[in-house]
Amino acid sequence: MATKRYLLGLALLGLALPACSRLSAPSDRGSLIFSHAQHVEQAECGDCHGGVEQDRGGVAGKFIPGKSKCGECHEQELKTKCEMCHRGAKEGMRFVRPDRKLNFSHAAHLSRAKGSRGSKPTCTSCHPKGAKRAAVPGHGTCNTEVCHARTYAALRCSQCHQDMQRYREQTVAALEHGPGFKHTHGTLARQAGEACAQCHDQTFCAECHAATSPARASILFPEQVQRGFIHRGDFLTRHAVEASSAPQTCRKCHGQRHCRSCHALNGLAASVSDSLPGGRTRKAYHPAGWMSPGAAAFHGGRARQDIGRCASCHDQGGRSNCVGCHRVGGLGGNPHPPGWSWRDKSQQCRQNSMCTTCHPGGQGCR
Amino acid sequence: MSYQTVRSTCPHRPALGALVLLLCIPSSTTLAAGTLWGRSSTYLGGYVKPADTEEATYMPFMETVELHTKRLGVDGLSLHTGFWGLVDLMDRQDRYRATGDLTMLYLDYRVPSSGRLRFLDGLRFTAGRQFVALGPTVLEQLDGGKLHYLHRSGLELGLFGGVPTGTRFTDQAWSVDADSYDYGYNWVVGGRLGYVNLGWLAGGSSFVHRVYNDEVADNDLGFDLSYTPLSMIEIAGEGTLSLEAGRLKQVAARAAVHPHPSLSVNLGYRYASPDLWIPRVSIFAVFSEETYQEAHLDLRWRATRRLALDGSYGRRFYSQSDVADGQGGNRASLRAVYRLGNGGPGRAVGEVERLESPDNAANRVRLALALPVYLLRRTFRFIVETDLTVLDEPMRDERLAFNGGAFLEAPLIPSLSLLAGGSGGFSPLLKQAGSFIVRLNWDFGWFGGDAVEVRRGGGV
Repeated sequence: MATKRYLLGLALLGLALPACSRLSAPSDRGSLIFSHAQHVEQAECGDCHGGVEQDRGGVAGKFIPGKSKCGECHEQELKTKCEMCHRGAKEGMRFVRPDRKLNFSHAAHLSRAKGSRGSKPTCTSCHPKGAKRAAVPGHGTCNTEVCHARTYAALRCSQCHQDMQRYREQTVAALEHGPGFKHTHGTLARQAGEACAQCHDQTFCAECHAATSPARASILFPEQVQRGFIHRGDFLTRHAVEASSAPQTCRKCHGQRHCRSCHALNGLAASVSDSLPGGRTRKAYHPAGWMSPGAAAFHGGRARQDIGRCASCHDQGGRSNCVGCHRVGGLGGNPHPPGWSWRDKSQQCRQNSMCTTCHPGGQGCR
Repeated sequence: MSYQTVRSTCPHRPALGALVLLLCIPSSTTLAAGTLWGRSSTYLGGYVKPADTEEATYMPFMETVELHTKRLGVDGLSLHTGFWGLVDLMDRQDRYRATGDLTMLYLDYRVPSSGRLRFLDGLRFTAGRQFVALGPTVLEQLDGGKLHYLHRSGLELGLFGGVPTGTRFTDQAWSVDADSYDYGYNWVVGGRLGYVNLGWLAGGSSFVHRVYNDEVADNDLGFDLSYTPLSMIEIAGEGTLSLEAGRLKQVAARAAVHPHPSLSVNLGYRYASPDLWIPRVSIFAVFSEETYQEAHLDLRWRATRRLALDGSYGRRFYSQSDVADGQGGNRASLRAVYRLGNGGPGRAVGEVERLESPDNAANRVRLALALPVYLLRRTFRFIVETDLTVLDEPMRDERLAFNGGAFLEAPLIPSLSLLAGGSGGFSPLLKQAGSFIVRLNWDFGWFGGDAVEVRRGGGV
């Protein structure tokens, strides 16, 4: 009976939840209802935005007139009709002065910049008189040939923007992260890492790429369901397929101990299945025929195809287990691929410490 | 599923971890928004694998912190750091009870565009533990410096040098291989000379030189080019030449076409020599010269303002036909992302994927939901994640693997949130396993909204 009551309670709670909830939160920020086009017919720019022509730092909304300025013309409405100018005023929303974190000097632009016809610019050079909304001019206004087109093309965003971290990627179409970005972003970062740095801190890269991490990114950030974390879900089951499908991929990030320690722990390090203390079984990692020349699974062919996979477990320098058979005079014969070449091969064979492991004293060097 | 904690054989690392952990919490709780920005995350996790291995149960207490500040008294100078610490509350072996690491700590100086040094505008210098992605490197993490100059003409020059922090993810928490070979590099230098004109042409040439124990481990030359003849078409390519082996290490080329504002198409090709990713000082660097190639097609269609569809297909070729039976392998995926709510963080994601290798193939279906629910004047987030994998060939006599989880994220006060939930599943290797996590997240000093969107990769 008690169980039924709990279940009934849970069911009621489940029904009540959607009833008293909404899928999204309402915005708590209000906005202004204002038409420049109407106001400029009756006033000059300086009447409301006094001092802007001397300003040398930022456009942090500080030149939006305050209540007292508006009250000079709208005294009555100011007391009783908030919603005439403030959208969301009835809902208690607050208007927050925007700060787009720009490096901008009105004074410098008004004194040095050239107008569209070579004349001294005025406010309306960048803020058209007929504009219905009070908006910061966009890229189209700034990036003209005589102004900042080259700055924009050279991706010198920081000349105007204190940082780019508040803008959506779609804002600059050329920087949009297109399809297959998980596979191409490395290439793009190597070409234009500074472009990435305009928006992303290195800590963002570190979430996936740091040399050490307390846990996988998909564990640390379970709420970010849209991100293309490589090792999401049960990657353990998929990892062998991923590793052999694109042979160099794992090696770019993982050292050999990473593979070896886990393989050993999970009983994958042995050549043949055997029993361990405590009734545990160690299963063979290498398939049957691994040591049989001519067999489909012979290790020579597999090693040629994906040598990184071998190195992930067996790379112990001079103590690597391939040395015993493949050193000069060993049973395994010459392991180098046909036509194998290296820069200064003959010299390195005699001097490189790894080469001399199998070629002691330059034996067999050509 | 598992907590892949990274630990070193360095005997001082556990003590360092404990110290970092102790420093993390007080340092992150006394910061004032506006002066600094960053994130502090405190985790309590649990992981249980009812199997026959000794270290199958973990209860890590973790702290990760990232801090950024520009208030250093010098215009253009900023400091960035990230670190983490971990204590395993269920550690049975009494080895490595605590661990941690300094992920980054670097000073960043950008010459301001005004002031006495404005003739050097475009010059940037970073020093400390940092990431470097320049030319033929693979996001190198190093203790060193980087100089980058971007002239207003678009010409750029970058130089870097330092000591890499080690091969990435070298160890695991349960490392049983204490005497394995250490592959850390002694030092690395590199650079790139390039040109960028956004929307038309970008390209450059680069190099990287690594030395290990006074022997050359890598000596690579890179080149890259991106050309946009029309606003709707971009052609790009990059390549890396191993000077030691005298062969191409990798080549990638792609053509990106935007026939419609809502449609993007990428046609690409990749070529790689897997053996050249092994340092030239390794004995394994001399056993193979096989290559791997892929031709691929990627599509994105923004069907509506809320819905984006991604499709990807790649055909892979392996140069040794007897392994792959001359057939190569395919990879194909479809992905749909639907934005929920009004510009908020809600998403519904569906993915289908097939990946083939010479030995096996994996088929995967993933459904995930991050549902914002406005309740009690707050926005909660309910997260559900399901992931099913079916292998073509059985692994340990099983072909199915499933993992599912559910989490709830609740805002406590602005910028402070609590997330709790768990996941579980079965797999050929882990049999059954389950985990839970409780996370207290503090985002401080962010600008809110879009800032989080960009930093956290909140796009499609």
